[in-house]
Amino acid sequence: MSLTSKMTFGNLAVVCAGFVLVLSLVLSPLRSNAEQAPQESIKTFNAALLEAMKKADELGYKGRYSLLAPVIDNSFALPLMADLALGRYRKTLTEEQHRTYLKNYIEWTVATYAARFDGYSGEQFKIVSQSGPERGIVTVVSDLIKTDGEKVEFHYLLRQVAGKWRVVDIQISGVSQLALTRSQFTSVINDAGFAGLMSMLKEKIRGFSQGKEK
Amino acid sequence: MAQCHRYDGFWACRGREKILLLAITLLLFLLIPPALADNLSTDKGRDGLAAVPQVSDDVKGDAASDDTAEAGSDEPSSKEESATHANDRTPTTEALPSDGKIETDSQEGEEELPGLEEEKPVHDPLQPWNRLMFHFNDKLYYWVMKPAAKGYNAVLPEPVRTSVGNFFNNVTMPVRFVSSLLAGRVKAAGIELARFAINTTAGLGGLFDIAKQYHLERQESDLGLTFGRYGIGEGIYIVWPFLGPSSLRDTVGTVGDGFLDPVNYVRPEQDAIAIGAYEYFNYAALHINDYEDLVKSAVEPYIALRNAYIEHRRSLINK
Repeated sequence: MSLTSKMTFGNLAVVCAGFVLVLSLVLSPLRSNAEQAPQESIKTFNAALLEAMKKADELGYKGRYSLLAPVIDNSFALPLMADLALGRYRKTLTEEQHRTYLKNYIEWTVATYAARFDGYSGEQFKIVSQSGPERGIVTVVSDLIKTDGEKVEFHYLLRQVAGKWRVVDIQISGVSQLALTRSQFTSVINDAGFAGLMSMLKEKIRGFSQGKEK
Repeated sequence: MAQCHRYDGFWACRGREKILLLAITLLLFLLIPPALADNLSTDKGRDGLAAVPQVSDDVKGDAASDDTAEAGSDEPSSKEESATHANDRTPTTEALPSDGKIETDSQEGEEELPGLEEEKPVHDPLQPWNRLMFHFNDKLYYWVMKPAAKGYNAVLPEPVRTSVGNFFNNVTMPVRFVSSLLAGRVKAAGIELARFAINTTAGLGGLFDIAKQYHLERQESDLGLTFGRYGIGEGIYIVWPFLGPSSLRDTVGTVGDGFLDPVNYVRPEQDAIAIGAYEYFNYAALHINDYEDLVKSAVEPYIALRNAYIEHRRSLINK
């Protein structure tokens, strides 16, 4: 190897080392932000819920739906949750059925929140802790504190989906809401088929929008 | 409004009336002709999870018509289109990937999600009976409990109802103390004892939960949980009239709890029953929306309540 080559490699090594150093300096705050992202995601979601509750009457059901839809879309891995909720039946759906199912699942999810968070009586949300990642899952614990001091713990399970930390499940009182949904969906499909499930989801959405369900 | 579930709370009551109800129910169970129960079930499931969707009558109409349709023919009718949310193309649906595929950074499967991986089946061989009782309790809730609780809540301010609840919580300390000890949870038993001492004195006979301010939280413990901590499985799932979801193990535990509940030793017996009933009613009035929150958002309320109850109990045992 010639001297020129050695110098070239030497310079290259220095340049590379410098590049790595600069990159690590530039990226370190980003990495720090990414580590905090799961918590931030829940904070944003909680803030939207609180706003929906406080302005419940002013917004009405449709207003709450419009307020929450983009936030839920941004904070939840809805397509993934929808697929997990189908369990073994996911593989049996055609592309068209899957698309219809996703649309109805997402609408049902947002509608449920819009219908249930329909009033405010001094409740507060508080992020309690963040743990993980463990096997790619970060758990954020958030309390809903009622006026009498009673706390309800929400365990949000988040995962990196499309470059963002998104909720994939919520556990309340030790019960996975995703598992609960799956047990219902598989039961309905078992009995009434895919069309039966779609019919029920649509009926629920309609009920929420008309104020029958709450 | 608040998304809070107390899966075993609403129907949980202790006291002599609970034992009495269990006996009546057992009698009812023996008297109900099996044919009636069969008619109430069209369970086609292979694993015991499948069931008739328990939904409102108008839903049943739609579902029934859809039963005959092919799975793929799920285009919404014009009626449905107009009745559902005005904006079908919400920001959420627009954000869906066009190919319907999910993009995840990690390629882990669903088995990697905690909670889903550990899901165990629920043994529900009494499903026809259970569904019947589920409907009975549901009607009881909407026709009797809810209106009564609304009236009660209107008359009695929440702090008073909370104090009544605190008082009964304090009185039933022996149930949690003994079951914690039997489960070998000495710390939990100690916390219960300390709570009792503080709340009985500083909390004016248990009316105020002062111990909570010292981070001495009420311990979730009963004999059903103790049996579970011994490794005894829940057995079959049972829905009792008036009392709601339970399991074979928890039913036996409930009877045992009755012997540890001081209210049951009040004499005359009518007073004990009345006090127990009031305790139950006050608790229900304080948590009047919890049951509704769960059931109204569920597409299959029976399955939702059943699995929520069983999973909640399992989580307490594993705590």
